[in-house]
Amino acid sequence: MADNIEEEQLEALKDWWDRHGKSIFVVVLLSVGSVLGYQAWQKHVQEIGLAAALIYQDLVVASASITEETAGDAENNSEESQVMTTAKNLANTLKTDYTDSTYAIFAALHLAKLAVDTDDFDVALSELEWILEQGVNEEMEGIVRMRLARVLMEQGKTDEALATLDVTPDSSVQRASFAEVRGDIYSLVGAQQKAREAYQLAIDNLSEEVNSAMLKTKLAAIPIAVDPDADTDKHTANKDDADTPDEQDALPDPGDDV
Amino acid sequence: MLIQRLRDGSNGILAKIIVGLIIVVFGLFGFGSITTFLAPVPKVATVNGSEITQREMEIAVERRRRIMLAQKVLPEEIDEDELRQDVLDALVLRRVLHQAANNMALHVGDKLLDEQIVETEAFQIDGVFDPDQFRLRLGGAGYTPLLYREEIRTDELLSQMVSGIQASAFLMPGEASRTIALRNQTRDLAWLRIKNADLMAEVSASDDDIAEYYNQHLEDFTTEESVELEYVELKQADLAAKVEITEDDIERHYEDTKDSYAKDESRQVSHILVAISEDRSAAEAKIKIDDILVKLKDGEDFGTLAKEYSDDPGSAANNGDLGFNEPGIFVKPFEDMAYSLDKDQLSEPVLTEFGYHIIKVTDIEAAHTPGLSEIRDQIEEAYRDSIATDEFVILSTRLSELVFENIDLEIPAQETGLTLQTTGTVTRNTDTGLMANADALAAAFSPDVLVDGNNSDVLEINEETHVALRALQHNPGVLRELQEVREKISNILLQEKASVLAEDQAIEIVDVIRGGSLTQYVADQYGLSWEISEAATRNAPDIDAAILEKAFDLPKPTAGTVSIGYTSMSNGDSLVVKVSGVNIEEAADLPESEHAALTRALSGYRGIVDFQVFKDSLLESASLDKQ
Repeated sequence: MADNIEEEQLEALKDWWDRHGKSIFVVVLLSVGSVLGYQAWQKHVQEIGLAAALIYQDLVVASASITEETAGDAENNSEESQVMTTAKNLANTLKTDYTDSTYAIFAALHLAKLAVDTDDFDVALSELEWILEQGVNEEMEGIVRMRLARVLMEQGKTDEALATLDVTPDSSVQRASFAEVRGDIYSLVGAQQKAREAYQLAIDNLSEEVNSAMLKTKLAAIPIAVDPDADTDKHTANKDDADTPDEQDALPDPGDDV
Repeated sequence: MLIQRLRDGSNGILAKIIVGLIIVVFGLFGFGSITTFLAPVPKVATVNGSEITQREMEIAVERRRRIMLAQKVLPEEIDEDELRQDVLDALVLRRVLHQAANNMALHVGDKLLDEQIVETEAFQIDGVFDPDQFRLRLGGAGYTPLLYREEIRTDELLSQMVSGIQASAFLMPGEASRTIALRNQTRDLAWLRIKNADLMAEVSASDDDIAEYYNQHLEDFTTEESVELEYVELKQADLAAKVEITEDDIERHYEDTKDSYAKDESRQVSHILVAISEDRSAAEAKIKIDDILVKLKDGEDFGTLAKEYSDDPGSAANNGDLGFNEPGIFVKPFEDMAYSLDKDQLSEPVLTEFGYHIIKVTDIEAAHTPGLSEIRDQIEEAYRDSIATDEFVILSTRLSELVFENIDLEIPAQETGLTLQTTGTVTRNTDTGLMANADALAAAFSPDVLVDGNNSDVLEINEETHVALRALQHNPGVLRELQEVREKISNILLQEKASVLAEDQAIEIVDVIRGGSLTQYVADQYGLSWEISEAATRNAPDIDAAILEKAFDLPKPTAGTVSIGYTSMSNGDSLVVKVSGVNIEEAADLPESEHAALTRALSGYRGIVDFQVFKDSLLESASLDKQ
């Protein structure tokens, strides 16, 4: 009896195998193949990443020693340019051979810095623009745009600098730090009202760590608005912990009585 | 049922299929895939879908607590909620950054991690990596080797991001000049000081005010809790001093241990090295060393030639002398030669990894076991220590039993031959004498000792000192009577009220001046006078920091106007501050080097800000779910 049942089951299984065996075999083969393929690909990616990481480590060391040398002795020019050449070669290797990696982006950031250190502002611009062309995540993009705007500002291209910042990042922190750079640009061209608004926006939205005393100093250096249409109240009051010293208005000093 | 069936027909087809499946799954995905099927682990937060487990959190909290304790923070000063919040924030930030590093496809080689581990001083004994020490240290900090490796991998990934973003930051020359000019600006200012003390006469404190303050600040009027302690101290050094010792003991101990004092043969060796380097091939080095050997054999002085030719700078200056050394110091070929030479015999050139050497043995000190008379003191001390160590363990165990069995320390002291000592009055803040030890302090103020009056356990002050203590007299904090502190409270209240009055006056003055009154007239009205400083710097040493802070925060007035505000000081005075001019000069007259140093500092700071913005925006966009 038991043997019979066993035999019947075996029969059914054999029958089922005859019908579906081939397709099951193909499916199993395909899945095993794709898993193995994926793992091999992962390993390949890993190896490429590691190679890039090693070059990047050398770049960081070279770049740091350039900064140190400039710090120590500005006259040591021949030595400096040798490290500079090494750093540039390493960075360019990353950009050409590992273009798709983040290390290429980091390399371009370092090239931009090295260019600024030697007053090659156009080179710095093209490195930063190259990063934007490559496309990076929003967090990185914000940093790059700020740096780009600050180089443009130095070159007097304030409209282009403002245009660079004319995007609205999702992050409020990024929006606020854009505002500080915008404040710098407005302040430079004498648009005091706009500069004040931009700085105030930055102060109100940045965290304690980023919200530097410098930012407040910048705001305090913008002359009080003399806007004939706005207020007639001629003095400025400002309390310590009042968050919005908005009514900053000015009036003639009522006397040389001090 | 299924298992039963499986066992019955373990060579049946079904069983084979299942076993095959298991092999395939483990083979492809590794043994770790088994955890996927296990029950979920308790977690404290989920960051972008990745879990921070309860266990990770507890280990991190303990680690942070230990660091705080090591920094002399008292256990009761640690705010548990704040500690946990800080640790969780740090874990979340670390996880977010780690995820960003993965998304950016950053990599760290295993080799680098291994090198780091091997080079970590804490894992070394005598400068060499020691696997047992490694596991011991990790266990102490709550890591497994694998976990630790992943932690330093994360550290490396984060440092790649920092060097990518922070280290690549720059400051434009124009920005630097403007920033420096802003920092160096001076302001023309004037201020009125409304003194708290001058207004004391105008305020009063009622009995009700005083009673209310007293009731709300009872803790401030309670004297500090203290305790007087009695203790016994078991010291291994005391036991060692008391060990009775005979000449026989010393001689026997000498015989037993003299081998460990024995010295191998040692030789004083000089050498001349001709190094093989990038600039000099092995063949060239060989020619040169042969040349030197010829000169030596011609009778030229070894020391002079060493000075002239040897590439080993340390010994060359010493006529090639390397001093006395026992076997095991030098590389093998060098050593073999050095120990096969007779005194003053010259070696043929010997090749080592450094290059070619000519070796000469200048002195030989034979192997030697010191006689008892030479090392008598050492032997006696070692013998005393060995006896005392055993006695110490026995006595400490006995003391443990005694302090537990007895209600005070009298009998334990008698039985162990120790002296009863007292500490005098100590408080929870005492950190001298016995109380310098955190365990002893904690034991003294434990409910068991303080309230129940029991003996403490035997406390390990250090490896060679054990202590047991009990409270002789406990003085709990006492609340002082209202009458006693009346005067004091009244004074506090008057000060507070005068401060409020001072601030009110400052606000009034600012308003009146805003209303158009002449500044001098207003000052006269309040019986005050303006103090003036022209072109004050931000750090002017002769002006109160509060005045400067306010003055440099006020907006710059346009020509012919003033900017005015007020501020309150911590001593209760209030200030009206007026800025009539801001002088911002280009940083032209700053010395070149100072300008460069400031620029570097500012661009470093710019890097820190950039990375902070990067971190903050990552945190902002992370989906965070705290349990």
